[in-house]
Amino acid sequence: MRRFYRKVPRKNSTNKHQNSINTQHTQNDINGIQQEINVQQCQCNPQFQQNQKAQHIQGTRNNLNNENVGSQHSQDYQHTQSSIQSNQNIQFQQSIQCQCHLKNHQLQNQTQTQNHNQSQDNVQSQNQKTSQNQSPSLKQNGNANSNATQTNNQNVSMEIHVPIYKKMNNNIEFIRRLLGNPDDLVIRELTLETFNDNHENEQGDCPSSRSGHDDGNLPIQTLSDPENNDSKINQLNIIDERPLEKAKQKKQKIHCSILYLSGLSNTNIINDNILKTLQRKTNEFNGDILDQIYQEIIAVTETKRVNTLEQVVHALLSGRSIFLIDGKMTALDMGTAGSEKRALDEPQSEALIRGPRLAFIESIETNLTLIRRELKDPNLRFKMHEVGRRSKQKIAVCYVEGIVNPDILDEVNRRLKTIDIDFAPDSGVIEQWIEDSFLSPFPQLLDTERPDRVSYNLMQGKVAILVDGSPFALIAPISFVDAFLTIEDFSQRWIIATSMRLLRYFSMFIALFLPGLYVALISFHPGMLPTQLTISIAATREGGPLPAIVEVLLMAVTFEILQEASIRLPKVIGQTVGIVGGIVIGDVAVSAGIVGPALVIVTSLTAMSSFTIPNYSMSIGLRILRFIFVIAASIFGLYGIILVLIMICIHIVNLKSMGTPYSGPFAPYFIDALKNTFIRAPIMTLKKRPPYLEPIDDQKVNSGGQRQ
Amino acid sequence: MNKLNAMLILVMCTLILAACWDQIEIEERAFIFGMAIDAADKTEVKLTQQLVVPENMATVAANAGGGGKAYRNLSSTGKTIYEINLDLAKQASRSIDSTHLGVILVSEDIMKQPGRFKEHFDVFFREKRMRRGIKLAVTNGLAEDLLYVEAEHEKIPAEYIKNLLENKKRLDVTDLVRIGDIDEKLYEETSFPLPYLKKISSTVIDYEGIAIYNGKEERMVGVLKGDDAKALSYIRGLKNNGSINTEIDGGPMTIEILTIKRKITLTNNDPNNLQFSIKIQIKGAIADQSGWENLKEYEVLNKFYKKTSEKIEEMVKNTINKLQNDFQTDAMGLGEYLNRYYPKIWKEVQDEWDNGKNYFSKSDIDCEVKIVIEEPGSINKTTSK
Repeated sequence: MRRFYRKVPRKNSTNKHQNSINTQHTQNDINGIQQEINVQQCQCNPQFQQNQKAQHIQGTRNNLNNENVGSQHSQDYQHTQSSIQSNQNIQFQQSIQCQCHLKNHQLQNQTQTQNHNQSQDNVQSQNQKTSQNQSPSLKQNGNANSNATQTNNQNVSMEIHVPIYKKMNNNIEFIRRLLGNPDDLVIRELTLETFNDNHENEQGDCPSSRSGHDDGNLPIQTLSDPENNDSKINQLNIIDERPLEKAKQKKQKIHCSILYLSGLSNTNIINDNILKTLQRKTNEFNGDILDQIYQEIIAVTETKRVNTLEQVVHALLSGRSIFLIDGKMTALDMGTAGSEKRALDEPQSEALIRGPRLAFIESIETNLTLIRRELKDPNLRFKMHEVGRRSKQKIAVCYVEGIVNPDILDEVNRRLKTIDIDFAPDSGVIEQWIEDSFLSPFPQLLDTERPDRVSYNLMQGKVAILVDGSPFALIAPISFVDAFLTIEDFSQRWIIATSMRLLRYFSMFIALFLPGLYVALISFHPGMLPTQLTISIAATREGGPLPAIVEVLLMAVTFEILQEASIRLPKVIGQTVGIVGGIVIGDVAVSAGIVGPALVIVTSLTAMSSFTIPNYSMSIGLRILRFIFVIAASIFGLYGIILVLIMICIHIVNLKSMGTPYSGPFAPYFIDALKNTFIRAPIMTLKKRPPYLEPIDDQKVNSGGQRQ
Repeated sequence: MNKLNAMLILVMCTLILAACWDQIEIEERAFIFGMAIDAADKTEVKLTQQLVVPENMATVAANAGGGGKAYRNLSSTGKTIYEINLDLAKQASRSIDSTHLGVILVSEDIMKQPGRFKEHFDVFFREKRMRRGIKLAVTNGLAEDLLYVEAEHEKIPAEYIKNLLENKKRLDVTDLVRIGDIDEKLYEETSFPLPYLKKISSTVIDYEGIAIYNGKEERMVGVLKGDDAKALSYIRGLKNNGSINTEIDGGPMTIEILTIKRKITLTNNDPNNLQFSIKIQIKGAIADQSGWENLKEYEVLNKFYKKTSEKIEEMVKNTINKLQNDFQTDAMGLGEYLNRYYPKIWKEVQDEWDNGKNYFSKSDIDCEVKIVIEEPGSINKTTSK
């Protein structure tokens, strides 16, 4: 069985933990622990769809201890158990994938049922208490699962709720099979010596594993909980005394192993801080071996106990390593993640002349560090989400508590929770899931690869979203003017920064309107051009084969092709293409008489202007709009341009970013905030955070920069 | 549903009523640069249009046709200008575009016949594609002839004439050449000056003087030339630069005029004998003088002032005399002054201001010229004594 799938409608995902606690551990004095594992059956494969009716019972009862079986069951459970047998047989015939794995258990199951019948009478009385407790939960599971099967066949998620087997080899086998026996899975087996006998081990193990189950997925808390520790020590004391009374201390060899995926983990840490310390351990173990290893041996700070194979596999895939001990149902999950990552580099798409030259990389941990390094505010918060049903990527929502408007924060978190995808290759996917209007050409979240820009925006009372695997952070909410702002505006003196901004807006207008204006003026309103210009354009167009609109579209599309090609091509060839394209556009097209020289100026000016916009997403959006303007101009002339402009204005004032108005401080009019829009007023006068975001703390500076 | 339909209709209207049929590519238009209006006979006029041939205009090396003429004159006769225009469109083969029309020339003949100018010019004020910046000039002889004058530096005669009319370096010109301004004057029936052009040779046109149009009589009454034209500019307070020549101690002297300010005041209320006083203040610089006096001395300068102001005063008085007696037309803007500052008096006199009873001719116009030389020039003396 390669994968365990469970059909769960999305609403039921909160029941996950309830469902997973189908395992019962009870203590029998001599027989040791009896395990019941309720394995959620796989239903994702199309083969199984025929099976749906037969699948209302989900559990397979496996006993992985080949020794004695003592079990306790409620009446319900027995009933289901017997019906499983028949269902399973059908499944085995139909499912090739299942067969390989479950064949092993078929025999076991048969013996188990026999044993179970025999031992039932003995055990039942002892375990009545527990079984009464368990029956309702089992019932609940049965209902939940049957609901699940009925409701939803298409939503498939990968969730494994298998507790760690007692036998280490079973665990390893399980992990191997689940991962498809990968070559990069490293398993280092060791043998440790201990004085404890098996019996004691179980004694020691039980409380911790139980408490692990009770607390769901918070094993660390269990460890740090002083009361739990106390009780454990007490139990250990009792246990230690008993064998002494028996006056027999058995020296025992215990198998254990370290598992990790090479490439994802930092082998230096594993070798130096785990393996070496383990090998140098001279004195022998006594007491709870797992606890001792956790306390004394493993020199990795980020270590926790895990109880399910799901957690184990997730840890392995995240690059952490796993310490398994034979006979223990708890494993150690050690934070040795440290795969290869790109070195910190200069921002590629947002270069500045003056300002920090640091960009995000693909690792979210590094990215968060970069932000933390800039903002040493204790109120800086990173709220983590997980996205991607298969990729399980981390998403961090960054904000500064006490500045950000909680409503905006809630909205961001709410939207992030709705994301339901397999894999998000970049933060752009997240952006599209949570943006307000998917039809708009304007970006409603700002993407940036600059940590300083993120910090600046956090200080503005905005929220940043970082996605694992993406060097682009998202900033929300934004307004239209934010896309025209660079961090360098604040590095330069205000007069220069203001003129730079005005230049950027001016070139935005050029990028948007110039080709459209060209078409409108040439085809409709030559009277609006200066006389000499009219004549010289008319002269160059004399005998030209194409009408203005076709000419403009031809050149614009040629340029777009060039631009797209230069992105795809390797850098070395890219230059060549640039030259060839330049010659084609600039020279040959004119001398061949296909287009006029005036149009070349228009095209190149438009192209250059669109690159002055600091935000690439905005720049692309405007590029699309430019074509709309050209087409409108070709049909209606200047009138058409004005019509489209009006439509765009209406769209912008209607647009929201995370529920806040996109038209910035203009449409809801905040005169004070205008100081940082088209102009950039002197730094000392920028005292407030954007008022339309309603930040809790709206004062950036109190004294206006004048120190007392 | 009705609302939706209404909305749809409105939206469709905005889209359909505006037109792709306005779309004419720039190379398919024939731009008119100049027009000449001549009298064909008593009622008909002859209209000559100067169309541009952009190919031969080209300044871009790639397309330089160079060889042919950069213009093409079409003419036709008819009753009204609009009608002739449609007639010419048949000859032109391209759609005629008057948005770049620069100059309209009208022959003396038409201007001198009462009412004809006004009659034919209505189309230029009424037609929506006409610009208010079109320049207007009166020609000596046939207006059509001027559109064939090929100056060496301009490829299109109309461009040459247009630039000529924009000259700001002389005083014997007038500022009132835009058709938009003339529209106002015609409406108010006031008199105004117009540029007066004359063809000298096949390549040269001269800005000969200022034609005076009488608004009440609806005709041109005469031409001021030379010093008279300059004097009119002093009286009107023209913003142009210019010069004035005098003689001092037997030698010639030229003073460059920098600014002119004039102030009109009315000293009495009797409509039958209005008394105006015109104060003209001139700032100038010595451009050229043959004397050897030290220009820093007050007496010397004073002598200069006296001489020049006397000269200008004489010129101005001559001109006023001419306007009052020969032309009997107020081209000085006194009527406008009365209209603004003494509307009651103006109401009394306006109907017969410069015709009929002609209050303008009956009024006394006194003139006082004051000149200040601001810059004696870079040198003080030409020769040491």
